[in-house]
Amino acid sequence: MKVTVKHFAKLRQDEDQDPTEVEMEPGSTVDDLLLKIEVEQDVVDILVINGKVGNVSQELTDNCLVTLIPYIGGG
Amino acid sequence: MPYGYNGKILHVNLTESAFEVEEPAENWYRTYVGGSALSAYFLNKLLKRGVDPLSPENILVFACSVVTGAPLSGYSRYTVAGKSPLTGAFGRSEAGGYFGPELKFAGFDAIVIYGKAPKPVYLYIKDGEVEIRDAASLWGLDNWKTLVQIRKETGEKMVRVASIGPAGEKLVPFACVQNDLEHFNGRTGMGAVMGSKNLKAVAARGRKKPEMADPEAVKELRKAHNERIKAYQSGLTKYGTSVLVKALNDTGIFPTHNFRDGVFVGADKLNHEAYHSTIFESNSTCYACALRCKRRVFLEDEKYPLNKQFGGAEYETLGSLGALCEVDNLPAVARGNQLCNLLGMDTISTGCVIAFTMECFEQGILSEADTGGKSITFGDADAMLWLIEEIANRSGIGKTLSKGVKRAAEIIGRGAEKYAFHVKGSELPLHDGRGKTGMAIGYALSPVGADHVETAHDGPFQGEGVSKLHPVGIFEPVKPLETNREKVHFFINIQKAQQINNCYGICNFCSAPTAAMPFDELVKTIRAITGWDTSLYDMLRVSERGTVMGRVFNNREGFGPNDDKVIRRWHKSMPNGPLKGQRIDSEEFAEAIKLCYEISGWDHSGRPTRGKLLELNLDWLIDESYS
Repeated sequence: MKVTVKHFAKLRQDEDQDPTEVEMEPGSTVDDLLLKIEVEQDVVDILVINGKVGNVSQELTDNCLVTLIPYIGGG
Repeated sequence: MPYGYNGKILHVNLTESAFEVEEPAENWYRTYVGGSALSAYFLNKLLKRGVDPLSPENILVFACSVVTGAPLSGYSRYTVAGKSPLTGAFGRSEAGGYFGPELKFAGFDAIVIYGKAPKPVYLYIKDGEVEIRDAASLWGLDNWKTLVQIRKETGEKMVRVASIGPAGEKLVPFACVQNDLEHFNGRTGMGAVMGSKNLKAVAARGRKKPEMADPEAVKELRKAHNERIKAYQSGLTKYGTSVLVKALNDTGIFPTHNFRDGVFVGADKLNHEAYHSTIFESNSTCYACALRCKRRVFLEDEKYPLNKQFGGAEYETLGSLGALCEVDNLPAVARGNQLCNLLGMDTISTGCVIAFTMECFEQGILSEADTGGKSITFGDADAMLWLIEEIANRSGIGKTLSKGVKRAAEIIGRGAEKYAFHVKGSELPLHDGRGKTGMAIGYALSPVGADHVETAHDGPFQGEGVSKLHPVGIFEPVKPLETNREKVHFFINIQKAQQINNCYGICNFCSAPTAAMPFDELVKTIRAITGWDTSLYDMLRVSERGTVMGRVFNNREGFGPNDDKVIRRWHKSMPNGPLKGQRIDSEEFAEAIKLCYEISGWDHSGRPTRGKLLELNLDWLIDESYS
């Protein structure tokens, strides 16, 4: 199945934030996705799946949109 | 009967060694609630215009909220407030830990302290009984020895102590108040106000927890809250705030070289991986909190020994004593943190003062002739540690530097003010506003000067992250680099939402707008604790009331639009990193500030209008503000 990932690892709107498409096995979780795209789950502050805040154990669905935002607030 | 709180405010007059207990009505508590708002009420009511912050005429407020000490993660915070000796403006700072809840269990929601004790004293509050005790044997002691000594004297192992160190006694205007060696009311110099009153510490021990209106509901809410913390905030549990070093450095907003750069080449040596593979000892936490973001550190080292009794350096300190001074030696930065904790100084201001000194050396404004032969250069860990002690002791060059960057630059002259970065006289927390423009507007408008907890930062609300802000009417994804009208709309609404935390005494990591506690759950929680028929609307008004009272206090002290600015360097292009070339346009920024005034119901000179004061139930402030 196909999953679209937006990763806000940079503040400027450039190619890094353009959504990338990742092919995943059916039944995969967000955790599996992070492993595949080599993002450490503990540096992700907010994870949004199809517009709703999600978590790493959540199962992905075909054509879903996953947004990853790292810790860049607070202190 | 009140639920969640005691209905009692303790007023202590140190000059007369007397105290009395006030029992305000429920409507008063519903209006002012706690923390920042409750403190601002007393400052406006009790302080005459123009009092010297270090004179007996100033007051010092310790303010919990109606929900502080409720058994939920993050409900541990309290505010210490007074007129700031650093800025001359409204001063306040929040801390977590155990002191706030313990003060509530000891029978009081807040303490207002007046006058000056004829000799050093400490306040001991136990199960509703108040004692002003002699502190002759404590005066001059560091915070660790003070804590140990008070535990011994009171015979209470679990007594919670908010104390000052030698820097507070010596009236360093950025001295802090701290509890249990790892929680700090760090900003705006409340430790110096305490020192000026000859008050070494406030110790509390109590066994009576305020009743909850609906204990079963609180229990259920706590369970769900802690599950969400586990699901969504694992990064903070695993790495604490050290996780921010990599993120801010990678995005180019990690202040380096006295706020010139946004990228630090030595960041890898300070980040969460370095921290947890070298000095990390264990997690630590605040009252009833499942997040456990605090750190304990330990290192057996001849040069930079670290003791696990102290809290480990948080992000702000890794930035201020680290990147800002270009020191990439983690044990030295952690040692600097421990020294500041022992001596009782805010690590943010201290690091900023040291970085300012380093740049003055680099620019030839200061030289070895000013330091008794000591060279101070960026990257020199031992110079950083040496300066911490000089500043706390107010000796040598430390005498000048201990006044904070604004006043130190005035004394040094020779163009030093070009390198003294502050807002309203307060040194800056470690976030580059060029990549967080909403936060930059917050720095400019906060009544306490540059403050990183004035508003939520922009980054988390990019893209679909904005979904968490729908309940406060923000629908467009945030663009961290813009200062346009959309950004003003974002700021006005997010600032009000964030200030709920400072008024209700809730940790920013455990509550909305983080995923740990969505807004609707937050409202349910406040209702279950207090039994009040409250709403998000009501809570946003409490928050705005707090902000407006801080604003009115500053207006009458002479602060105006000229003080609502950010630093020169943010209007210049970022020299390197992913945000190279990025700057905040001065004119656009000034326009944004003007729009904020208009939306807020403030006039062109930044004064809340009479109509705004009336709308917020602050009609008593109209005479104060418009006389």
